[in-house]
Amino acid sequence: MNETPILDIKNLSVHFQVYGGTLKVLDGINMVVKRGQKVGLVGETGCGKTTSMRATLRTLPMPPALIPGGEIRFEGQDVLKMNAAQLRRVRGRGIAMVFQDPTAALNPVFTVGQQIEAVVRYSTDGRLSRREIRERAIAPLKEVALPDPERMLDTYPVQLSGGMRQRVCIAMALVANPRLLIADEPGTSLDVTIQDQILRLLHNLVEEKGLSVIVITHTLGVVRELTDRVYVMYAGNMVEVAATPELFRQPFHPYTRGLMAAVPRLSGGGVSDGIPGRIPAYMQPPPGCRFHPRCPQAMEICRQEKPAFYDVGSDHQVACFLYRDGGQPGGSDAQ
Amino acid sequence: MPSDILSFTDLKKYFVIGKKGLVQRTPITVKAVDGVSFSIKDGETFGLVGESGSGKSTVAYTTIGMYRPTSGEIRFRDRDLFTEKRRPQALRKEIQIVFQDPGSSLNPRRTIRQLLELPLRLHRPGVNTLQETMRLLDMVELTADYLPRYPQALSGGEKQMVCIAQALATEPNLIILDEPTSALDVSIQGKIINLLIRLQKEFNLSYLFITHDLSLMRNVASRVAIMYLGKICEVADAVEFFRTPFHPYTQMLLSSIPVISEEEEALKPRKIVSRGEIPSPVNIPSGCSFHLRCPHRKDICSTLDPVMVEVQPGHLVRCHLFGQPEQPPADRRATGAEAVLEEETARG
Repeated sequence: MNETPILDIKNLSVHFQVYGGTLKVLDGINMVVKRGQKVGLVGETGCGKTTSMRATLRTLPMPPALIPGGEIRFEGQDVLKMNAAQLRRVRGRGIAMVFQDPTAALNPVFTVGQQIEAVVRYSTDGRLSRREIRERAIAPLKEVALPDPERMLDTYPVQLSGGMRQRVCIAMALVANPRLLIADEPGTSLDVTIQDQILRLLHNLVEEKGLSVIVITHTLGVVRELTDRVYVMYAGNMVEVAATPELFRQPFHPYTRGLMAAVPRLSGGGVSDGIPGRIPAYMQPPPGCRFHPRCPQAMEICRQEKPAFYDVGSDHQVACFLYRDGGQPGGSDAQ
Repeated sequence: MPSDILSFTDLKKYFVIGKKGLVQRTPITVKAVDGVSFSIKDGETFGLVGESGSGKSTVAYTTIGMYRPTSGEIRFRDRDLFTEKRRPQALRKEIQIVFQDPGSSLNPRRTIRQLLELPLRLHRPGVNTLQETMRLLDMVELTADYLPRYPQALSGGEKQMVCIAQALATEPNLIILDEPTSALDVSIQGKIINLLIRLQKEFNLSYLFITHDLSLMRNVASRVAIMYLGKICEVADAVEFFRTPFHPYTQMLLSSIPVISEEEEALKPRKIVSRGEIPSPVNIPSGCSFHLRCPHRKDICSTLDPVMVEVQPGHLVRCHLFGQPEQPPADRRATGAEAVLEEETARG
């Protein structure tokens, strides 16, 4: 239990300095990923999911981004304090990321082989012979179950289907045997039957290689199928953390509840109206709880103070004043 | 029994995307839509499902007249949509479309008022445009404050509301909804969907609803058709379809949907492990185009393309597992489509 978590984000804030002011995007988020864990990061477009992960890899353009506070500990070391040489060892070898759109993530004018070999060279600091580089490029292609990996190295991304491109991207992330894999919307741009294959692949990789995975997504179904633990984000704040089955059994935060209700069900029965209003502007985010302008159960205190995390179960915390004294969700919002 | 508002008969749309061969004469064609037949009843929501590249948007664009079909016909209330060279205006106003991405389908340099006035001037000359634009905004639950604004000042959901208002401006009978909510967050989606359902009741609209989200489809459509590589593989009533899917592809599709509750999990067909890649539409496999991924493949599947059969009343499936007619109709392939295509190639 006292083992150092693989990733420990503490009170991280990220702001963007833009014309006309500062966008206060991340507002002190906390996140812990343990070894071998599959963690989901859910939230709507623009809530800061990708920003937090890019901050972790230190790939945010600075400026305009600035990090006024917080720490990101990867295996105990603060990524934010690392120098260029230390970062090189973390990126690819420690943490690897699979980006959202496989078509945009691959360069159309280079073959798959050229692109994977570039990653091999980067991660081995150019110590290998050509033949060794090629061998190391083939290995991950086999791991992601791509047919005929030898030939795959000489194809261009346009010659591949969407599902195959996604596999190539995952293979590229696996080149240097990372310990933490961040997958941004894996498979969501693909057909559900292909998405299903990709999710199964990720699941198997975690089991076989003992990887830890963070899955960024806005599809709750994907989270339920793949992860052990979920972080729900809203407008730059974490609002709820729970073991996956626990969250789907009983969501507590009004935002999570609204989100769940908005998902169309296979069992039919119509679609709920969703959550009124829209995500706030980051230039002047609402004071107190950032969700209060859209919250059906907002109270006076919500407008003034930012809620802390309250325990509502054995592995379940909610940042909402409704649960200051524990208690159950329900009552007036049950409709 | 309501009559059909729109019917497709063996619709084909091929695109020539290049030339190949020694002297670059052989055209490379994409059979985007390859023999699609179905009809939409008055006042219903007909769902068309398929992954990207399956040809569902081509069906939509052909219906509104962006493309001319390679062969086959589309009839709107028994009137062929492609008899005249240019579609008569009276017919154009009957069929409207709402596109997927509201951000790129609204001209950024026009105000909402200008955007809504254009279809009014074209299709309903003489109408009081200011009054009518306000009424349109009211129908989609937006206030008159929006009139002088530009699209960029609106959120994604509001932009889509404006697109819907634009479609309603011509007082159409049929609206094609091409993935109307897939660019939006789930928390916004519900509002748009419920608005569409309300408008449908109010104005007795018929919808051709295109999406790849089957859970959403379950909640909006009265009948559903599944497309795979330019062909329809199953058509059925929505409830029936989700209860007993027949086609192996449909079963694979339904069993792959990520859901959020145990209750839904129980409704999915027995897990069929998805395998194989979706072939490129340029190079469609012989016989049944799904045979390479099909768990129930038989020898015949790789050589002969099955035809649609009615397995139960109103439930049609195109698969060799379901009693194909004894004698396959003589040479189904060589129809007018090839001839037209050759002609087009020769011309240009």
